[in-house]
Amino acid sequence: MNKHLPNSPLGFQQIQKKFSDAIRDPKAHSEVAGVDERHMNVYRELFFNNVEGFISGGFPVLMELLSKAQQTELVRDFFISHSCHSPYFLKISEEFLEYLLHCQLDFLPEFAYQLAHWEWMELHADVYQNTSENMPISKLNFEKDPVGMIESAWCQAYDYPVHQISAGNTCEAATSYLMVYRNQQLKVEFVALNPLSALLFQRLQDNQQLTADEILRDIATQQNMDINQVVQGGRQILQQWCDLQLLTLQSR
Amino acid sequence: MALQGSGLGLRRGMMEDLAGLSNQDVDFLEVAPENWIGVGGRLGKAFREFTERFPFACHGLSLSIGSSDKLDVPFVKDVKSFLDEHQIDIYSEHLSYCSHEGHMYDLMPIPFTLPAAKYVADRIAQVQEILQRPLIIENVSTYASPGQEMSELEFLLEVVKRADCKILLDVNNVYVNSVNHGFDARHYIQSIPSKYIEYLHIAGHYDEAPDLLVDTHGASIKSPVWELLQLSYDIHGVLPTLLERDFNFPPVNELMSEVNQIKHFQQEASREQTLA
Repeated sequence: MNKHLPNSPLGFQQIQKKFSDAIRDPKAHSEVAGVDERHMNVYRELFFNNVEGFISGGFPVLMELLSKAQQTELVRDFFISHSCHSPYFLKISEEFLEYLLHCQLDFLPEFAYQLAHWEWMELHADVYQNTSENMPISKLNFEKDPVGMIESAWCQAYDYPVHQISAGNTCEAATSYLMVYRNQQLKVEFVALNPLSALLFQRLQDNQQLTADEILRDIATQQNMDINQVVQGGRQILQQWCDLQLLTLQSR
Repeated sequence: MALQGSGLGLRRGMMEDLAGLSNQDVDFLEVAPENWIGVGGRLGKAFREFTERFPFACHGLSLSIGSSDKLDVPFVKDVKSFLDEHQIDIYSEHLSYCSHEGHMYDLMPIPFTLPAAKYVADRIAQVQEILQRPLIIENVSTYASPGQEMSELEFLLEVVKRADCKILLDVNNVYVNSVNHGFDARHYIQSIPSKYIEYLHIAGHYDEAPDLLVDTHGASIKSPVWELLQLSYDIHGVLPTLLERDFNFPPVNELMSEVNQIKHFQQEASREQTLA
């Protein structure tokens, strides 16, 4: 039938290469021996629509900023140029983020990666599987308790106010600290933080054994700020986070 | 534990609607492990509520048993942990491949050649070794047969005999392929030795053209497919049968009426077989 198809593993694997190429990149790989255009197109459409569904479902805000033609070009470029390693469907979003880091398409807004990361954070927080049973505390002793953040809380610094971007509202660059967390009712919430709160979050997340006040005094010293002022302001933030059930006790 | 009765494929989009489901409605549920491994939060909690109430089967999507890419051993180990954690014995996968130099997240037709059958059988053996469970292989819908050197049926039986594994017979896929590739669906079902068949799948498809059907799992089951289900019971005995519905979810009562139709055919076949 075809001299390129010897009776060896390599033979059928060569066909698989051609077939998968023809699905990923129809323009560059139009023909596969023994498969007509009409049947090849069934595969092309099924696969492309499937990937497009995952991307538009995972990144609705980013996709809405693009025209239909741009959306198609973006998904096609991802499908062709990025080799996905994860067998998990929920991780296609992570594969897409990785792709965006190196994406060369010039119609993407400069904040595209950061916006996509923000959209991904919401999914990540929603499905994250806790590795410990560390429960939040309902009351915090600032002077005695070695305090930390619950596992399902994240704080990320962005160069744009990505949480405010929508089709009608693109934005100027401005550093934004965004905390995303999953509450005890398993609902995902977010709060914009000021730089000091973001720093406090970081310190709590890394904390092993310091008390709340020790951390606050540390921050004040490090930032050359008034200790009493930082302790007073910091305690207020910590009280809010405690009320939101975001704080845990670290084992001392 | 072996499956019995009638089952339903559980999708995230139907979980809320199905929360009130009981063992009276459906005997077992089935999920793709790829959609649930490592998933916590509200989804993980909802899933656990189902696994505590129903027997489960797993029907994988990403194993890519026929792929040229290396077998993803860490992934197979994750599947094993998942099956162990939820005490699931049944794990089926597609006689297909969904990756080539990376995942493509949908199913492609393995060229039906003897070397491909040997290659796939070797990989099935490797997977069974890791899982410490049989791998049950499903016949898939196809729209093309690149590099074909034997029939789909010959290929399926060659793989199963070599790997000594079981078959998940999808009667909708048999019907779709019989139209797409012009073979006799009844002969296909009759030719599979009963001892290989572990359970059945049934689903709806989409008629793209008189000679081209697409296996969408997004519509109700068509009558020729119901007839093939009845034929399968007549030939192979009453086997556990699962309804797949992945898109265009209808109201629960509509889904349940298809599950009840399965039950009805099972009872009918069982009665006839007792009398015979």
